[in-house]
Amino acid sequence: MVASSDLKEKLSTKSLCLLDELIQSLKEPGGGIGTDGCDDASSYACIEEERVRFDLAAEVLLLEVSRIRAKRNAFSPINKLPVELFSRIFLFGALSDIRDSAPLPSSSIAASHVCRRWRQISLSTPSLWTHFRLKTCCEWASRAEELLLPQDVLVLPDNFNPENSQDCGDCEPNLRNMRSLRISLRALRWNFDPLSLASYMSLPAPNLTFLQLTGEEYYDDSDAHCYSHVRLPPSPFQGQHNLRHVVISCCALSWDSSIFTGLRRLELHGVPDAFHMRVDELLSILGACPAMEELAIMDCQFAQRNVPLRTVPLPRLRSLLWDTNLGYVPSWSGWFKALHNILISRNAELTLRCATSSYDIHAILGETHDLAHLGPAAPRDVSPPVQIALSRCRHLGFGYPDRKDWVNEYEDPGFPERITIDFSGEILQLFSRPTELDYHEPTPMNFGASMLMACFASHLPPDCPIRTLSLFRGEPLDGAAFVGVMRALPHLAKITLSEISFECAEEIFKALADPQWSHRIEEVVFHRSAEFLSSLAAAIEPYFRRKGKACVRRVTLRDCAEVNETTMFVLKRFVEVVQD
Amino acid sequence: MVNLVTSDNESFTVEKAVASRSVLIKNMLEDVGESDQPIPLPNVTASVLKKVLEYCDHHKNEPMPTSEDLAAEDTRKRTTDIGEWDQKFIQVDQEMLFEIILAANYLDIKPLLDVGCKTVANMIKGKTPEEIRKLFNIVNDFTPEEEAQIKKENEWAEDR
Repeated sequence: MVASSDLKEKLSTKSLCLLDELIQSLKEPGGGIGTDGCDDASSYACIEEERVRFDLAAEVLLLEVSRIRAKRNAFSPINKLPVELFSRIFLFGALSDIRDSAPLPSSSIAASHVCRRWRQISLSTPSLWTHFRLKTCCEWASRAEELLLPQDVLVLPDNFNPENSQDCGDCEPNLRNMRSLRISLRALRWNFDPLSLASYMSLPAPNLTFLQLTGEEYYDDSDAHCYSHVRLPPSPFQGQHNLRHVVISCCALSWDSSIFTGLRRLELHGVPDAFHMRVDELLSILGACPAMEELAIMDCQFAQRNVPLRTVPLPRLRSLLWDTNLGYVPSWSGWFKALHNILISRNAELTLRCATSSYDIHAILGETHDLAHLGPAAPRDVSPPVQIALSRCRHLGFGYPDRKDWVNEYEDPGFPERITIDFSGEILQLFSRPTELDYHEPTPMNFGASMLMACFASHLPPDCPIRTLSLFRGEPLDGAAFVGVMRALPHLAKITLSEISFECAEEIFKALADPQWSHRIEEVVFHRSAEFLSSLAAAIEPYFRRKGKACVRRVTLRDCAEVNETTMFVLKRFVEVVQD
Repeated sequence: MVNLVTSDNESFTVEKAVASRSVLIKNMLEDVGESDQPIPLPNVTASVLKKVLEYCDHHKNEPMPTSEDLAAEDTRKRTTDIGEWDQKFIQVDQEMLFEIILAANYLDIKPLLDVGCKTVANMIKGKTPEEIRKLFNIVNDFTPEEEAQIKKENEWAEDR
């Protein structure tokens, strides 16, 4: 046979048989194209039989072509790579898609469409398909097989309404096996019924350790408040989950859910009080997670209600990030109350960015916590974060924010006692709310910092280890209060003055050169303002003459544009002057 | 110094620190102890080994990947970025690229293997299946049934 002699190396036995049979039939009289060999009665059946035969032959040949092409592809240099290396390459593509937040696993899809071998490899590499959106159809969910890696994520799409979903059934095995569930939720008008997540949280998920709910919030064209609000089933995952890490981002839900029990990590992002989270609810959640190790609260506000708050100790907490700086928020916001009722280990990593009032911080720094309700198990070495921040602080700063950073607030300007707290590492800065009392002449008449410094000084321990004290944009009234703090710091070595007023500077220099205050400052830094150098020189000179040395060892000028040379000359007679 | 002999019988004498970037060779040296015996590398040709040793020499002072790094191998913390020197190093023709990958796999040099695999992944990224075929000299070998399935998947993806 001509056909088999040419193709016997390449065609399967079955295909060769079919081809032989077809060629044989074509050789028989009347076996060619046409109906000559058939009588009228059987002609139709005969034609049909031949057509089927040719169709079959064509199909077989197409399969053979595919097989031959696959063999040909084996000679492409890239196909010399073994399967495990292909998987590795494809995985890097998938990682890249995840990193780029691609809506689809595009690299994995493309790889699976190149050739049979690549398709076979990509479909048998579950990790390429574990990061996907549910609506990418359940086939892809099945490709993820039962891969149980901690990073497996099931992502539900932004515009997905689970209540209307019919396509989750096939995913059930995957939902049962999933380790991580991440759900993106669209915003609904405030008066709409919340989305139910029962479809995804009604099945047991014993391996589930991570849950993230990500929503959105905006005001629509008619100025209606739209935000993501969801309804969780009464017993999420039938109580069979192993949740250790929960992230809630811009989403309102029932905060008393069992998903917030026994957590090691909790992250709350963008949960303003409109989302109905109250101080006592947050404290209840934390009370149900005594082994919490990492807590991050960002851009959240908590409403208060008139219930007694129970202090929650978190002795195992390794990291607390409390970044709720929403500007100089009204004092009725309860977030600071929430922060103050959490007691953490003195060794915990701590970052605070939040706002309160000088009255509140005064009250809180003087407060003690009663852990009697915990009985003998009450941990000892725990303290409120603000007190820990103060004990760790080595660089303390007061003042007002840069004018360009002023928050344009449409609220009563009559609350100068409001402050923002910024603590990280060893640096604690407390900025007071800038006010412009005279609207016709937009001259700042700030005095909030002086109020804050006056009350803050009373909370500094006798042997306070703070070594650096800074004042930013101090106003005339702030000088005396700054001096009060200065004198309460026995280890003070450095003072930084940034863009302060002339009167304020005079007051501070006078105090520095006061012979009654027997404390020598190592360094005074002038930041962006060197116009008071002559005042400093004038203050230092009599001190120098009386004691034979200056009250300041070094003066550093940082980012100071114009410095008077004569003044520099005079000052250098008493102190070392450095220009950065 | 260590003497390495390639499949085409060429000899390379390299510093131990360079050769030990390969876990395979490092283990061999540890097993054999101090010895002048050449180490045969039957799966690597001279031209490829030369390139591999160039990589090892450049990275000889870097810490070896720890067990933690290797444990994190399949996590998504790994990046797909390639260092500047490595990018220039790996600018070779396709055949050499795949040979380097195979050699890195055989010699167990994970960082080099990653550089190679990331390079191929980057070559694939953003391309259509047809562009990928053209790039790697592959022909479409799908059966009609598979073609139909792929068409369906494409239609679905285009709808998103």
